[in-house]
Amino acid sequence: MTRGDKVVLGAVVVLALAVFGYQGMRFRLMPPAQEAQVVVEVKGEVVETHPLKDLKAGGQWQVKGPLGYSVYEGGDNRVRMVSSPCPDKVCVKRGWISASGEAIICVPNQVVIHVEGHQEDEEGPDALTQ
Amino acid sequence: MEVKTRKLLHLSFLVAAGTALHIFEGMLPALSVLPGAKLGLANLVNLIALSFYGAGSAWWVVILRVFLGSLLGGTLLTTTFFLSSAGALGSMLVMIISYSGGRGPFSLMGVSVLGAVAHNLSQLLMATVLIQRLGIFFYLPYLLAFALPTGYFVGLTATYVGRYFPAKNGEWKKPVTKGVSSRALNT
Repeated sequence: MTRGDKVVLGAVVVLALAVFGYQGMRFRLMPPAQEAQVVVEVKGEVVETHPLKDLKAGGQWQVKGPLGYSVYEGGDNRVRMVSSPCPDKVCVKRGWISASGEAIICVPNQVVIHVEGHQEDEEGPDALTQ
Repeated sequence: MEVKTRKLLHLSFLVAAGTALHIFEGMLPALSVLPGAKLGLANLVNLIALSFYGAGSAWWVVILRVFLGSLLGGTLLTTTFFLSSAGALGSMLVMIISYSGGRGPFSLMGVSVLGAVAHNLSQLLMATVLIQRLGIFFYLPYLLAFALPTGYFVGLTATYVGRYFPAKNGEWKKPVTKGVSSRALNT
């Protein structure tokens, strides 16, 4: 190990920590979900989309499914189902969703609410590197 | 044996060994937690070529190794091939600059670690071009953390290999084996 080697090792550790720290900060300062879209589907067809940040806290929207109206509510960059005509209320019990890829699925009323993000990190490399 | 023939023989051997290592590494199961992380065994022959025969020969070894390795590994002209080439060429460029004919401030370990880091960076850059998404750089810290020990040990191995390739009658350029005590090397 020469002095130059030690400088290299130190620099790599610092660089790794710096990038790691920067990513942590970025994630905390502006969560990726801010640009996310809330997509509401009935019977598999998209009926409404809202930018997640536009769903004001406490605001409620309704969407008509085969059984009746499902009501969902916005709140601080998240969304939840507040009432539904379905018998088991699984969708209501699902609670808040906010992250890209999360979904509330009400099978009886055929309503699906899911968050589609522009999260950059969700796609990993799919090729094996050699 | 004539010096020129000897050199040709040694470089051919290095290309063959590098090709084998390249394919062997491709056969190792990918780390599911960290796709893209690898040992960098093929870099061993690059380091040996660089330290014994200099930059020009090292380029030949790395280019032929990637081509043959991809051809025999069945990845030629696939995404893997482009990632592989980008990594190998970027890494070689940085290693040649940092080694600078043995007069640089780094031993082969330092050169190897720098090469591993350059490999990761150029591979991520190529991946970004291929998938058109910058987010893949989020892997960088993890890859760098992996590159440190693997790069170091590959460099150490190259140093030891260099010791067991004897220089005779000035036909070889004796590699610079800085940073490893002569006692450790004599064992």
